[in-house]
Amino acid sequence: MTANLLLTILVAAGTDVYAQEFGRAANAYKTGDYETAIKTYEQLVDESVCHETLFYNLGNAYYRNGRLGAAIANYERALDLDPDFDNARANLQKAVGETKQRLARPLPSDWEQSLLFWHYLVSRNTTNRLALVFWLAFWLVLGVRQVKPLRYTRRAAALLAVLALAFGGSAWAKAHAPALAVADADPARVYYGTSEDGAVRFELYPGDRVTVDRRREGWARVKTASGEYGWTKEQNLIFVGPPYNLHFESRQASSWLTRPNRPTRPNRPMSKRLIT
Amino acid sequence: MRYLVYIAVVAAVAAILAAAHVYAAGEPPAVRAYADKTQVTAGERFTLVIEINGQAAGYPVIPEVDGLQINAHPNTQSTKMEFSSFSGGNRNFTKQVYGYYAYATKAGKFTIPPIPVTVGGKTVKTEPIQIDAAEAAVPRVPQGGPARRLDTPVPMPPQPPAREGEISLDEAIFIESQVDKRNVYQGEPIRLTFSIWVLDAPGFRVYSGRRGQLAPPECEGFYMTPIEEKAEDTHRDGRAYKRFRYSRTLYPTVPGELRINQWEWQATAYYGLRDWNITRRAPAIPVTVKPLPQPPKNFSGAVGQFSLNAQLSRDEAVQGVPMQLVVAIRGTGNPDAIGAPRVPNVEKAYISEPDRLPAPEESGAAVDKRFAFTVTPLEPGELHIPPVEYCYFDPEAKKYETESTRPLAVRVLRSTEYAGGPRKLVKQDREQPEAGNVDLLGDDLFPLAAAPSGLRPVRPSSTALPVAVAAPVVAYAALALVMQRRRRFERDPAYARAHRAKARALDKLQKAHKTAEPAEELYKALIGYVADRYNLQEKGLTSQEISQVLEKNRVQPEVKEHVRKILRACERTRYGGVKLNEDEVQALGRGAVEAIETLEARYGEARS
Repeated sequence: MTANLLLTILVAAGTDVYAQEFGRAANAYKTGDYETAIKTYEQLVDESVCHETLFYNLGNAYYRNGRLGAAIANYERALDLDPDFDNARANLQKAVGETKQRLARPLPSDWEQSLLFWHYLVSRNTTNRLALVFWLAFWLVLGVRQVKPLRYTRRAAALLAVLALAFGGSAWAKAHAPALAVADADPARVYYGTSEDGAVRFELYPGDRVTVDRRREGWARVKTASGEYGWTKEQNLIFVGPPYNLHFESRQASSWLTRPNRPTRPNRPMSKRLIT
Repeated sequence: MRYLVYIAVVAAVAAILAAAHVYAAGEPPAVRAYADKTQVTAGERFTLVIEINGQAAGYPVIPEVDGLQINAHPNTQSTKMEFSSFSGGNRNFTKQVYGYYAYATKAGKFTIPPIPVTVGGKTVKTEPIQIDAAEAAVPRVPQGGPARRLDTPVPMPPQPPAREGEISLDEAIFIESQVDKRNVYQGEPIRLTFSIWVLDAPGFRVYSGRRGQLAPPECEGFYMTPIEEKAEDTHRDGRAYKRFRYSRTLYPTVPGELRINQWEWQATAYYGLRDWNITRRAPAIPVTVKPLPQPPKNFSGAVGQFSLNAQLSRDEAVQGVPMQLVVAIRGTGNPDAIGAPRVPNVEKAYISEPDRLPAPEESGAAVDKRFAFTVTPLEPGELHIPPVEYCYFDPEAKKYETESTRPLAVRVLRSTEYAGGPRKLVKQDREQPEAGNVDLLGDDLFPLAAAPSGLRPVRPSSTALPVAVAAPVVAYAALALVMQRRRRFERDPAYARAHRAKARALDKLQKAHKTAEPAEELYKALIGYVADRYNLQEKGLTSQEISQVLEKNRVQPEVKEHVRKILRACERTRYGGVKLNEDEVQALGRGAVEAIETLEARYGEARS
């Protein structure tokens, strides 16, 4: 009983800590101290706080600080969590408009987007939830059918199975889609192969969005919206995620099915650090 | 007597009717053939009329006559019936009249031979008919039209000339081809129009069928726009026509004597009660193309007449925030030859390469082209964009002209000075601006968002998903097993009894101690157990029968004997009137429980 109460108090206190830190970052931003704002928001991200508002504000802070690449990556994260986040979309447009090349976001073909609109319109989290809900509903209907075979239960079960499979497949496809990354180096040289001795194929500039379909020994094979591809150093890129952390080398791209445990960090969690 | 009078009257009436019928049927058939005109010109229509008195068996068979074209089927047909009476009888007349349109295909004297007609079972022939055909008049050409009917090899009879007050086929269908100018400069637009005039009158129609094809002319040395079609109702020479206009714009690409080749149009017309395959061709048109004079250095390559307009997307700019400069070129000329204008360099701003904006649909030589430049102010202060110039050749003025936009100025705020807050955004379907498009965003970012409630770390659990996926499957499997067992209980009474045998027997044994006759209750409990276990009728079972059942089910002899002893003890008590004390009841009860447990274990072994 006492332990439960203590846990509740700790969680409540921790929640307050995150909100306070969030507010502290916002205050720093408002006073023009973008460095502090970025640092504070990043601490929250390191604490595994995952919310579209956090990434949106972090994007704004990066934008004000002149780091277009990081700003665009964080706006993309906010939109990945909530595709209807209009302010994030607007700020993303603005930031992209200020990039040097103003490359379009790599997108699937038009026919693919038309045919699989439900796949592209629904966010990653919503897709996962829908897949799970349909899965549970399918088995529930089967259970009802065991107890009392009502009319239409077979059709309902078939429909739910199809929906569960469709959204499950959609979730799997989203988890295994080529990673979206944003160039953060000026310029990020893209080579024909995984060697800096070779010829430069093209150059990316901060904020240019590309997809990464292969990775090898610190190199990533990137592809632009126009179909140009080549190899660049992973350190030149910010991977959008999930997981929604900045640089690739410390976080392996993973899926919601096979997401590994987070790497151990030397710092203690912020909640404990601040409470004690 | 009265009956005899009636019979006589009926007989008389019948005789009269019979006589009348014989009289009418005996009327000999009469057939007559004649032409409404025997003096005609070649191609002039006349009508061959055949009158038949009597009921014909079928249509007359029209013979073929060299030099005459007679329709095989009647164009007009009428039947007249008369019923007349006269003194002593009635007469019934049937007169059929068939009309066949015909005309002479050449001049000369022709004879239509006797035409056989079968009437009332008899074949009767008409008299031969003489037709005198003179030479046809020269076909008339519609006034004012350059079109002409060409001597195309049409394997059809010649087209009929018009009679007095009628319109000829040439007047009913004709074509025109024209250009607005024949002497032009290189690149100057020429409007070529091809018109098909079709008489709009009842009984006259044109349908394309297989041959209704319009072959556009070959125009070597010209750049051509797609053909535009237009249909309209109009009048010409006091007649109503449908006019089908096909137009396109040509741009001569090389100087010299060029030629717009002939158009050809084929169709089928229904005219004069028959179909005609017609071919119309418009003559070729020569065009003289003059080379352009020596062009100035800033010549854009456009030929025509144009106006230029430039506009900025906002009145006030912010340092580093891009805005849009749109330059519109409107006028007449070859749209594909119009390139983007060149915007002079501005020191205080970065101006991007132009992008073509979508413009209203262009028609003919009308041009409306818009080019967008992204202008990003680099420094605060006044930003001046000098006039944008566009040099083209004006064929009307026969010289090069240069159009200029007005100079533009915009105030650029330092980025930190700007405190206007975000403006309303343009709603866009796609979230990212495509490369080259200009985003019509506000001047500043949308502000920070407030802290959301429940801000907390989200650490994904590696077990949550497998559990969530597997839990319903496991739950369903458990439910299915339970339901399967329940259904078996319902449909298999032996299984249900065996399943509950032990519980029922133990329950009875528990209650046996409290009853007045515990030995009887113990007996019933044990008998009931065996009956339930082996699905037997409980009532009337004796200890002897129980022993047989156990033996049959291969129960160990010592167990069987144990059960038999308990049952016999109970029987002795029941029927011998011996009252058992508490210890004996307890002992019997324990023995019964033991026996049941042993049998249950034996049953379990047997199942396994």
